[in-house]
Amino acid sequence: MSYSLTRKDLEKLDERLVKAYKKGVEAIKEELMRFVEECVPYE
Amino acid sequence: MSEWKLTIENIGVFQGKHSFTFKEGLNIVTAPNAAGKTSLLKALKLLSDIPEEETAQYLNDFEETGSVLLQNSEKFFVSLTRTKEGVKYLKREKLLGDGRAKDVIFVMEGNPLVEYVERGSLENIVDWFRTFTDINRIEAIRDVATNLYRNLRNDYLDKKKVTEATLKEIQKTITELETDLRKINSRIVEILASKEFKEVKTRIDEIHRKIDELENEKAPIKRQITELSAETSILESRINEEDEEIKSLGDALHKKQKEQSEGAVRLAQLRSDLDAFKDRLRELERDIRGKPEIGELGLEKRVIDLENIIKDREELLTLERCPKCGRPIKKEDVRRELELLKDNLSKLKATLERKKIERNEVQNKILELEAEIKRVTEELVKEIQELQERINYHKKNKARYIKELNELTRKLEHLKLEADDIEKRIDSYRQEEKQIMSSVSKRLLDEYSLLLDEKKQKESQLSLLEQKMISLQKGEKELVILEKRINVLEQIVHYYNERIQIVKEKMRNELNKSLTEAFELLKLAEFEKIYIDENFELELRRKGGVYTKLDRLSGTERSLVAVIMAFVAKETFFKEIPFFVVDEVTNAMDDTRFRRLIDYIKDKVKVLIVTRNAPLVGEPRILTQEQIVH
Repeated sequence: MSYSLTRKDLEKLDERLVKAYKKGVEAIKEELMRFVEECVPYE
Repeated sequence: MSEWKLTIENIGVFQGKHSFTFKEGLNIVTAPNAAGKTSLLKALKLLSDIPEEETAQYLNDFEETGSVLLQNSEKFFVSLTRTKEGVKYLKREKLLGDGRAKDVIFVMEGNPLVEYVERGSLENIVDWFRTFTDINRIEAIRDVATNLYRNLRNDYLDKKKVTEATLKEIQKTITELETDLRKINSRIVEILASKEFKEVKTRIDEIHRKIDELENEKAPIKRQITELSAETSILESRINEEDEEIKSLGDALHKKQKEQSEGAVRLAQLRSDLDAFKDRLRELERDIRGKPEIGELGLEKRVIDLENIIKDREELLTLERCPKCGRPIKKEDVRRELELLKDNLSKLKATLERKKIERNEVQNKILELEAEIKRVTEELVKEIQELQERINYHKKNKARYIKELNELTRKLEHLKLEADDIEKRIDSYRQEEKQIMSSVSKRLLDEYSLLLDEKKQKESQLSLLEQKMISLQKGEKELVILEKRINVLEQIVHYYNERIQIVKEKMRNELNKSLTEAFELLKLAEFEKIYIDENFELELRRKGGVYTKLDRLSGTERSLVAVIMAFVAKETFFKEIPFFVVDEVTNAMDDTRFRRLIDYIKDKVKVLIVTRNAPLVGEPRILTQEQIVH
């Protein structure tokens, strides 16, 4: 049922979010959703 | 004991190549003012990942390239070059820290932490700590992730609740319908077993067998239709989602494009300003340096020439007769001329100084304008490009979903035709059955007919509910996806909470431990403890537990606090960096306090470099004045 993230996954995500942070809250939200959809796609 | 060799070329006031050696332990750099102490430290600082837009203040004003090399067993290297766009990095091999380290390694002019402590500005210190530890960013991301997690979770719980209630309701209705159908079927069996029906029973049985066969043929087709219908509605909702995303990105793109077209006017203005400043810079350069190729003298050369003439005249005053013609020297005339020449020289020097100041201002303005032009052009284009890429991504998704939907719709149409055909054949059998039944008594026939209608109606209801059940079960799969996504967000929130915990607790504890130890060892009678609370606010306690404020401490006390705070922050966050550098800050401290401070630091750091106007008696490792070249 669960999807397990490694420390490396989270650090890579953090690098993406550092860039998004400079663009504002909406950009962080979009980047987070994109990451979540990549981890758990519809199909 | 290992040595660190520093080789500087064309950095700060240094022109050409100069080398210095730092030994492990304490290195005190003593020299008079303007001898190049700060330039020496700036050269080291250049190795600590300085932003490129700040490098102009490091390269010597009269040189086109410069470099710094620091080596013992490791090798750190940076080189700079002057370009039309300003000073740029040419090469960077290995650096001291990640750009943040410079604030805690180099306690010198321009260090924000030292400046805030010396000003007693608590608010700025808190901001500095929050930015330095990255806590602002980490908390902002954690908050966004937490909100997303909560929204998604609420959405999931609502959907789950509705799905479960609907499923329960449908299940109940299906059970009722199945009970009714059992009763109807049993009555039909009774009627068919009656005497009147027996005569036509053989044919009726055959018709029923045919109908059963057709129903069996129809059932999987109906199931496929139900499944495909559910998939179709999911695809339609995904297409809608993509449409919404494309629309919102399109709006953002439109906004950025509008900004870009408005920016064109601004860009033209910026470029025209830039050209004007560049022209002015050329004029100033020409005024200062002249144009030797056409024999035009600049202010610098004129100052030197005038200084030489003055020197000649001063020499004449020491003589009785002219060394060239042998005539007696009229000293009164020479003195008057000398006065005039000196007056001219001081005016010329003032003009030169003014022009140099203006040149620096113009150079800074050019850098600012170039950075602004870069921002207006490159960043906006990049943002527009990103938005277009995202729109294309969603358009591709939409096109894929539409293609899948068309395929499903075609399959669905085909299946519906098949189902209709079977239905027609069933109807024709039922018509035949009715015809046969017309020979049976009206009352029984009416009842039989009613039962068949009722059976058909209930079966149709049952089929609809079964379709709905399948559709809901598909929806349950989406719920599973949602649940997994919530789980991913939960892990992200946990990761950032952990990082906040580490920064707020572990690092703060380290800082406080080192601060307490430093104050105990330094035996500062005035105040016994400086403490950073969980919001990174500073608390200062005078002896006897009396709290005080930073701005109530004396200037020397504040300098001391600044050096210690920078040092413990360096030890907490960048322990691996072997250097700690203190420039001028300690000049106002008396020798006892100064010695206590450096004794405390020098045992903890590999290479401690301190600049000071006056030497410290008895200190063995000193970088002497002779080594400072300017």
